[in-house]
Amino acid sequence: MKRIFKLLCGAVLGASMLLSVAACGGSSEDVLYVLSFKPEYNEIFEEVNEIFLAENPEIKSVDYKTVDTNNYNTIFTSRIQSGFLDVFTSEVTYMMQGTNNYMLPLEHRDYMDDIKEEYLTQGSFYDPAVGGDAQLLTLPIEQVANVVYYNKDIFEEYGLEVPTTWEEFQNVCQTFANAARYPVLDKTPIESPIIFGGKSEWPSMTILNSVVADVIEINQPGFFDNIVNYDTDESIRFNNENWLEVFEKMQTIGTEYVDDSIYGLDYTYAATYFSVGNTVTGKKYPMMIDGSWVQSQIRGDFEVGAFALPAVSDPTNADGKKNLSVKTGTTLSVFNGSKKQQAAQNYLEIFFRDEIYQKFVDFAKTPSVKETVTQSGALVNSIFDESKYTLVQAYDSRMPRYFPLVSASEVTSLMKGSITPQTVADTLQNKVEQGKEDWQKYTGLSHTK
Amino acid sequence: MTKCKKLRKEPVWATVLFTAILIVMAIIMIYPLLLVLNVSLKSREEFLMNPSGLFTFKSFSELFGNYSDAFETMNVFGRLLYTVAMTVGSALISCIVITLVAFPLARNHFKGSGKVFGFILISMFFPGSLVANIFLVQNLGLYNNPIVLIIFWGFGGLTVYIFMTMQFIRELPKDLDEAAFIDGCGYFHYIFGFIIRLSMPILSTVFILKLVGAWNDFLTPYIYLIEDKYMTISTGLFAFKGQFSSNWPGLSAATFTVALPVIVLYIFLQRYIIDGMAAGALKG
Amino acid sequence: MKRIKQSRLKTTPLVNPYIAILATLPALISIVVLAMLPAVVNLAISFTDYHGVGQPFEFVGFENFVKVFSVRDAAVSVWDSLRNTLVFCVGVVIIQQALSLGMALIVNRKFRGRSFFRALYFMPTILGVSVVGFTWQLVFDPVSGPIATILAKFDKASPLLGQDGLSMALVIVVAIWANFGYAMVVYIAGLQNISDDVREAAALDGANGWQMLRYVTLPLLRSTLTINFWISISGTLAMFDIIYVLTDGTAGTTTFALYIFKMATNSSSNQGEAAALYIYFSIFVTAVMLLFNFLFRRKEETN
Repeated sequence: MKRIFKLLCGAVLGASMLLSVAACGGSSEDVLYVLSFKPEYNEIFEEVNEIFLAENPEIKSVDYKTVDTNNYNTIFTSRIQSGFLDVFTSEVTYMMQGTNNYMLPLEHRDYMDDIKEEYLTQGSFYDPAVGGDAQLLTLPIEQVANVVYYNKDIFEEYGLEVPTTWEEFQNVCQTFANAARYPVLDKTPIESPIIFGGKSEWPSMTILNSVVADVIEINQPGFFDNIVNYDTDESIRFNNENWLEVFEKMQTIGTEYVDDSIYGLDYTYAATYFSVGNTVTGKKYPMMIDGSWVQSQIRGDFEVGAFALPAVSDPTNADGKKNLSVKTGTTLSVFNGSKKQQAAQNYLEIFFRDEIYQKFVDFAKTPSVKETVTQSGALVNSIFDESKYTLVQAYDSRMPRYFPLVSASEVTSLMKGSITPQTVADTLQNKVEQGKEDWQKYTGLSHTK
Repeated sequence: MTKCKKLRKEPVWATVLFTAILIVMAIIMIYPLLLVLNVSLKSREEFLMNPSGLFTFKSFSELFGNYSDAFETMNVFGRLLYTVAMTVGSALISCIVITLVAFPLARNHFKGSGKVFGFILISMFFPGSLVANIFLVQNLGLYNNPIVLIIFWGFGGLTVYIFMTMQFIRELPKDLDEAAFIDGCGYFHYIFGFIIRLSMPILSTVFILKLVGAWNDFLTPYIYLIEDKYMTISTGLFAFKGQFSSNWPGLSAATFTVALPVIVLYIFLQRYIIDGMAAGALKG
Repeated sequence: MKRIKQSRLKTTPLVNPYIAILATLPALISIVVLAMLPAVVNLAISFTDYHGVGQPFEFVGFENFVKVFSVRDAAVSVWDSLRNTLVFCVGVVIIQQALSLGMALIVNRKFRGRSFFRALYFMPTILGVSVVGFTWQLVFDPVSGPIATILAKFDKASPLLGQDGLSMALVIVVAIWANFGYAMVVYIAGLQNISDDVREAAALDGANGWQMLRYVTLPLLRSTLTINFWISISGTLAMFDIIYVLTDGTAGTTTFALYIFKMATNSSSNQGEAAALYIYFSIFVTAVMLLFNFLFRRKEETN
């Protein structure tokens, strides 16, 4: 009896092993592999999946996966090496930093005529070293801005206005920091003036971008355009007084206006806790620094506002407006090693259909990239209000290819107070100097010829 | 045999102290899992409102809502069978391969077996390199092929176990072998028929260690396998974290679903597992 | 590992040596393919700036071996990871061994329910790393976790896993939680191997509990101690998956092994550097284990 049982187990085991091994192989011809790092948009993509399957009968299923931003790189690498990829989300930054090698030049289709020119340009890639025409490699689906969300009710309670200068911002933060330490009677208790996803590290870049958009652009306008003259222009250094100011302000924000516990908070929970506060202590977070993409996740019972972080005493730029750090956010691309290029491009087309894209725009609270679809959200339109703001490309997305950036872990450590601003600045400058050979070839790199 | 117990009675304070320690440690061991269970039974809203309290019972469907989500997302049963097949299968393969090499070496069945022993010894200083493994798997086109699991788990990391088994076999009586060979018993037949049975103590240790090692190894499938259906249970939990963004209850339910079969199996088999490990580790 | 002199040529003439060799082949081939081949490939890659399949790369000589030490990131450098590895290893090994030995002594006494406790303490070792990781992440959640709740009662808050220094301590705690059961079981087995007669003799000689422990039990446990330490040290040096799940290496928890892992799985990094780092790592681990061997095996033999 025992013998038979053993034999049976062995047989089942062996069979399952053989089956699993046998049933594999190269990527399936009738599955579309979609990889995304935006779980927030699952709903929309699921709808696209359904329509896609209905209209492309040769494809039997869509393998749609979302991964954490932090793990995205690892997974993406496996996918491209193994060929299990057709459609994927990306960013213009990634394209400029090398992912362009894996993006299929998209063939022109009618729907692209409805996409605003500036977005098509953003998604185009031109390498002066290679020449030829600029190719459309990736389609932006959204534009995002780095903003400070604030709880209007709490601001009113504490008698605070939206800050328009660095000093006013400091004042607002300090008021809340004081309230956190010494609770004020019959006012909403404060846990931390600012909340953000400290543990995930990359969210600190959203804060950095805002600070750079003011400090560098106002104090040293044209800095970024002059990277080309790095060798001759002594002022183009990343440890000059302006960059030092950037890092010092980052440290000020991080140590004085962000409660320690925030650095243990995973990004995915920042918006939730901003919405409902710290449910254990009952205290609230008046401000959250994040991207415009997170609006759909803010579900509090208070009125939410947003402003661009003023990082200098007079943030009025040459056009009389305030700088807003923006970047073309998530983009969609087709893997150039895909065996279903037509089907993959069909997928993109479905996403951009007015009915679908309108839903996306409403859900994601982003300015629309299409002429034919409009964004009607009040908050998002107030953020991207071009009468108030000049949209500036975010620091971490505008640098030439292979240009060394300050890393998210460095910025987070800086904010925690573990390393000094001088260290960060010097390290950055060293990186830039040492990597000169690689990036100087690409300073001429532009989106179009 | 009665023992003289007069000097061996433990003082009361010691007993109390030790019992307290035992209980405290027991709580520390089990509390995290109970926490996960508790959270998994709350809905998202309930968790936010009341993170640390006991879950409240509203209705069965609400109570297990997270679990049905988790089951759906992670396809637990299918994955379980697959995981068991892969881990148990590769552990078995390990045992076989190890016995096949330990026997000839322990008994010095051929000239130069000493050199081979030395060769295996040297190989201990060549631990696998991730960079090289990825490179090899990519270039051999083995990506997304579950056979890599069998290869890494079944055929990898055997050195230590080979030594342990050799040590054990050396202690088995040689006369049995000689008698069998004189009787004309085939070499392999003898190994599979007798040696394996005689080496059960050490082999069950090896089996269990390999099994647990493979079970816990969530990185290997994560790196080399792409498709969902090839994810093992441990990997599945990690890989699907993205689907549970800002949803502790959901993630807890998923975690508990993955842990439960293991815990259940453990409850039934713990005697064998622990005894096997203890015995084997000593002989090594 | 004692070098046993193979007894010379009492090989049974009854056995066909070729068949014997055949039997050893599967294991030998796997060793060559899975241990030696990757090592050679790794060596080769370390001399290039390989970036991944399909990308151009070139031979760069010993450049990588120097480059890896340059400080690329003010927050996490190779040196930081080495220091973290040492902290992690020493922390885990010492505390874990002390704890498991202590618990083994306690559990080994004769009392009802001792096998229950033994089984309970052993259980965390069989839970997968991802289960352990997410479980403890929940425990350490700085807002909703139980620890945060307790701290809140005292009006305090802590980033826990996000705090430099503290995070390492927490990671060590989790690593111990997940693994000490195994060491404990081995100690129990070792303890049970000590015949009661020896204890009786010592007790009759007037030894009390503490003296018994120091002069009788521990010396007799020498080989068990050595095994456990060996396993613990070598395991901890290479351990990184638990850290990966808990903190992803943030807040100063990146150990050397994790540092290499992240470099190896990052498509934009230079795989050659990762390979070079790996070689340094192997040398480091080998050195530590040889040192251990030298120190402790010697002692064991003289005993």
